[in-house]
Amino acid sequence: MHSLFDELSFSCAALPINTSAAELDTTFTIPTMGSQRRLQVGMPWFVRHPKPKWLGKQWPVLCGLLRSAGIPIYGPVEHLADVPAASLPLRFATRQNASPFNSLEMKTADALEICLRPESDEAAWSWPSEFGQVTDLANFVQTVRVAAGGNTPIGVSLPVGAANTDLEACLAAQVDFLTFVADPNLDDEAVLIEGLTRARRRIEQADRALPILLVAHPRDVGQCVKLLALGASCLSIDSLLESTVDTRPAQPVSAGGMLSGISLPTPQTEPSLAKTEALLDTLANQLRACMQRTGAHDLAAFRANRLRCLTDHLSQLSGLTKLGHHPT
Amino acid sequence: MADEEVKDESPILIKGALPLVDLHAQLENLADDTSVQLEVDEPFHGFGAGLDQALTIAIAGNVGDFAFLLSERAHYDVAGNAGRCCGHSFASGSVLVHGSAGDCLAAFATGGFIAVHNNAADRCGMELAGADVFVRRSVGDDAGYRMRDGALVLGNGAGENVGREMTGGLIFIRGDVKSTAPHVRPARMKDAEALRLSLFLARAGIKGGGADFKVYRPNPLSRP
Repeated sequence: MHSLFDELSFSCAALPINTSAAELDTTFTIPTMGSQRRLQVGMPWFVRHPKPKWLGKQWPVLCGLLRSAGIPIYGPVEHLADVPAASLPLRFATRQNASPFNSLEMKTADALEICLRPESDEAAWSWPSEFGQVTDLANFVQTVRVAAGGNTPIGVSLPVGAANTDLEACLAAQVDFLTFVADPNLDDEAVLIEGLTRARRRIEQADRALPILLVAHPRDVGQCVKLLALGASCLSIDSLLESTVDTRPAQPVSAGGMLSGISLPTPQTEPSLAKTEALLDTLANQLRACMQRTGAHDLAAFRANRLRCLTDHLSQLSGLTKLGHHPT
Repeated sequence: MADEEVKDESPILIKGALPLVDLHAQLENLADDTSVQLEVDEPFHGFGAGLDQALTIAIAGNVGDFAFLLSERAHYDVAGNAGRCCGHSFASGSVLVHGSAGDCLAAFATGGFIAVHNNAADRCGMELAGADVFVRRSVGDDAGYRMRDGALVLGNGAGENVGREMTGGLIFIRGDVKSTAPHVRPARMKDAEALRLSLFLARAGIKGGGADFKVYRPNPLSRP
C-alpha cells in the first residue's frame, strides 16, 4: 500500500559527525512557564493508551521497561497503584473535555494535558463550553497552572490540522506543550503531514521552543523517525506496541478418555514482552542511526531540513524541498 | 492569664498587587482555621485555584475568571463580583459572592456550597456534578446545562432552556421561568426535597421555608 511517507527521504550530511550513535542526544525537555523546572523525557516516544488490566502481571514489567528507556505514559493514578516505585515511568495526566478536574490527578502528574474533546467523540471538535471565547484559554491555562502547583507543564491537545487561529490562541496562552491528535477514524497522511509541518513552522516563527506531542498511528519504525523530523517532539507508539505483545493462548487441553471431546478451559497466559523490548531497541537504534547519517547531534537539530521529498505534491503539502532541487 | 490562653482572632491582612503564585504561596504557609482579609487593587484570574486548606478568606473587591477552581476546604467571602466560571470543579468548602457572577457559575463543581447574592449570567450550574449552588436574584439562559448531580436553587426565576441536556440533580426555582428543556418539567416536591431546600436556604441566609419554590428534575423517560 502506497504511503506518503515513502515519498520522504533523509538527506545525508555533507560532513559525518564524529559522535558515535550511542552518544547522540535523544532526550527532549518540556519547560514550565514561570518555573525553573524542566521535564526531561529520555526518548521521543510515549504510550497514550496503556492497558494495565489486559497486561496483568506484565504491566509492572512494561512500566519498568518504559522507565528505563525514559518513555512516559498517559493514564490515571490508579494505573500505577500496584507498580513498584523503581518501575514508575513519567506519567502524563489528562483532563477530558466536559469533566471536572481531579485534584489527585492534577497534583501528582509529571505533566497535565487539557483535552478539548474526547478522542472517541466523532463530532467536530470545539473549544470547551466553559470558554466564552478563545481568548479565555490564557486565563484558564494560568489558573490550571496555579492549581497544579506551578511546577507542572501544562499542555493543550488539538486535532491535527487545527486552524492557525487555534494554534495562535495556544501560543498566546503560553502553554508548555501542544498535543496533536490524529483522528483514528480518518487515516489521512496528507492531513497529518500538512498539519504537523505547518504547526512546527508557526512555532518556529514565534521563536518558541514549544514541544509538539503527536498522537498518530505510525505503521513502522521508519514512519516514527520521519514524523520526528517533520516536527513532532514526541510520538505515540501504541500502534507499534500492540503488535509486539504476544498473547497466543496455550493449546486447549483435552480431558482425555471418554471426555476427550470436551476441552478444558484454556489456561490464562500472560502476554510476553520480549518483542516489546526488541521494538524499543529498534526504535532507539534506528533513530540514532538516522540522526548520525543526517548529521544531527540532538533532536532539536533533527528537523525537516534533514528531509527531502520525492514529489511536487508532497513538497507543496509539507513545504519541504524536493529531492534534486537546490535552492540558491 | 497564661500566654497560651490568649488567641488573636483578628484576620491576617494581605494587601497590594501580588503575583498570584506568590499570593498562593503565602496562603499555603498559613495554618488551618486562619482568617485572612485580602485587599487587592485589581481582580485577578484564578484566585484560590487548587487551594487545599481550611482557611476563611474575605476578599474586599472582585475576583476574576476561574476563581476557586478545584479549591478544597476553604471558605471564601467575596464582597464584589466574580468573573466567569467561578467555582469551576469546586470540591469542598464554600463561596459567598455578594455581587454578581459571570457565565458558567460553579461549572463541574463536585462538592461544597456556592452562593451568589446578586445575579448570575448564562449557564449557571453548567455540568454541575454534586455541589449545592444558590443564586438569589436572576440568572441568564441555560441554567443547569448538562447538570448531572447536586442542587441548583434559583431565588428569582430563570431564563430560557432551564435544564438543557440535564441528566441528574435537582433545580429549585422561585418565580417565573422563561422556558425549560423539553425533558425537564416542574414536579411535586417530595418531603425529603422540601427539607433539603429549607436547610439549603437557611445556609444561604434566606428567611422562609421555601414553600413558594418549585422543583425541576429531568424526566427519566425522555432524557436527551
